[in-house]
Amino acid sequence: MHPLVRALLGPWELRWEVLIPLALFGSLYALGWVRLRRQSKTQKVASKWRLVLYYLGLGSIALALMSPIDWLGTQLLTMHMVQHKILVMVSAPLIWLGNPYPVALWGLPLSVRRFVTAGIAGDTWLRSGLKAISAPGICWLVFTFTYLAWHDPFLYDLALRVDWVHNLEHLSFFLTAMLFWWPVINGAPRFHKSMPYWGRILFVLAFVPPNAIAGFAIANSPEVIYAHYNTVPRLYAMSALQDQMIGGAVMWVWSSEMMIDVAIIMLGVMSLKERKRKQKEAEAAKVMQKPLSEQRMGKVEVAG
Amino acid sequence: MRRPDCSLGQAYRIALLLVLVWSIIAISVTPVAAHGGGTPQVVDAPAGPYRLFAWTTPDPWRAGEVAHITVAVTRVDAAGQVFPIADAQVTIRLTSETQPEQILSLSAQPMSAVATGFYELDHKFPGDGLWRIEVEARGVEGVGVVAFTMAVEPAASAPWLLWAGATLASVVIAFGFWQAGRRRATQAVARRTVQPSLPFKG
Repeated sequence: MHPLVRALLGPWELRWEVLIPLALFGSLYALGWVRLRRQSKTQKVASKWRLVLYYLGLGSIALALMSPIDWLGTQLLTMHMVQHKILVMVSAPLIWLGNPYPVALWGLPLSVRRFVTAGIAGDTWLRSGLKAISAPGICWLVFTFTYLAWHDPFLYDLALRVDWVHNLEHLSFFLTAMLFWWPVINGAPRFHKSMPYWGRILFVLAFVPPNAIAGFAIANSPEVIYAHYNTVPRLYAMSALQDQMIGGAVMWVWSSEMMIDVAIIMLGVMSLKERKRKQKEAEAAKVMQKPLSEQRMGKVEVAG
Repeated sequence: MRRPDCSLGQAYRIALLLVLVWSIIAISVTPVAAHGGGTPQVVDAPAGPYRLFAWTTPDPWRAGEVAHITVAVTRVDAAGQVFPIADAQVTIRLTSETQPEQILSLSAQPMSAVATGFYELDHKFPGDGLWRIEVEARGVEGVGVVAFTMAVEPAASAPWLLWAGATLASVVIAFGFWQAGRRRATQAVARRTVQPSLPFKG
């Protein structure tokens, strides 16, 4: 067996700082979901598929931060890139698709729920702050800047040298990715008008060039950019430069492909909605025409 | 749509069950301290039949604070393939350069099943100054030793992180109180302005 595959099948690491928030948010969601489902089994807010997506999102966070991927990320750039991609390209959109805000809100005790809704719905600093930060342009800029900034050799090496900087890196990746996917998935709470589908397509596709350039530059660099990987034993049958080439390709191809996939899905949804709209219009036109023709026939009969 | 039921019942039992399941998972999973990284001190140094690596955290080391040393023991075969040595005995000797009679000999433990060939040691340094760190790896192939020097700084007068955390917490709490007060005041004004518009019953 390849040493990397053997390592990937190794035991998971227990990390309380990951496990406790996952347990907390997982329990809140479950509680809210059960409460909402008791009211109606066919409602859209807490559907079965949303429950599955939400827990897949939480599971992917656990996979990125507690599985051997986390340790291997300190030894291989490729695995570190895979870890980051899981956090920003898998966990964040899956969690949004689970519709976490309204569902988890129902998991809270009444007093806390009132407090949270008052903070978000009322004229508060929290609402103004969330409104300002959730503007689509800001979401895109904050995520893209954070994502690219952490790939600076100094910051990247610092994260691999100092534990708390490494945790900060992962936290900022995840939180800014949540910002990025917010307007794309149009998750609640909503502080702005929903972006039209063509806007969302442009939004995700605009991320492709900066990501592809950065990934391409890393993959094609003739030297090892991140010095840390020159200081670790090469236990997984690839040199630091080969590892960097694969890591850069993961960054470049995975994210770009993901964004293109999302754009295609959005295009599909857009055309489906357009077809439904046209169908409805045609049906409405038929209904409008029917009494008119019947009326004409009546006239003919009278005339006859 | 009916108003969601908030009573203590099935929902709370499910939550309790979830917490229980999480606790069982948390207890059953073997705790693994997979510290990655640190400041490299020894990189691919030949030591007897082995090649050794050593990293230290935090940066700098301070007297009275826990210092962490990670050691990787590897061997390179004739084809140039690198292998981790999982069953080595790693001993770390700490010698104060200012007080050479002060020698500590400690055993580093394997890190985890994933980090094969990696060993770690946590130790609180008793004093500041220059310390010689000697790493000895002993295995079936033989013994290898490497050494490096670390400057241990005097103990910090105040833990700055604690102060920063306390300041941040105070600011957040103060802000919360201010917000709550503001909301109460707004509600009071709203109540006062609503009263005159009540229908007059003559």
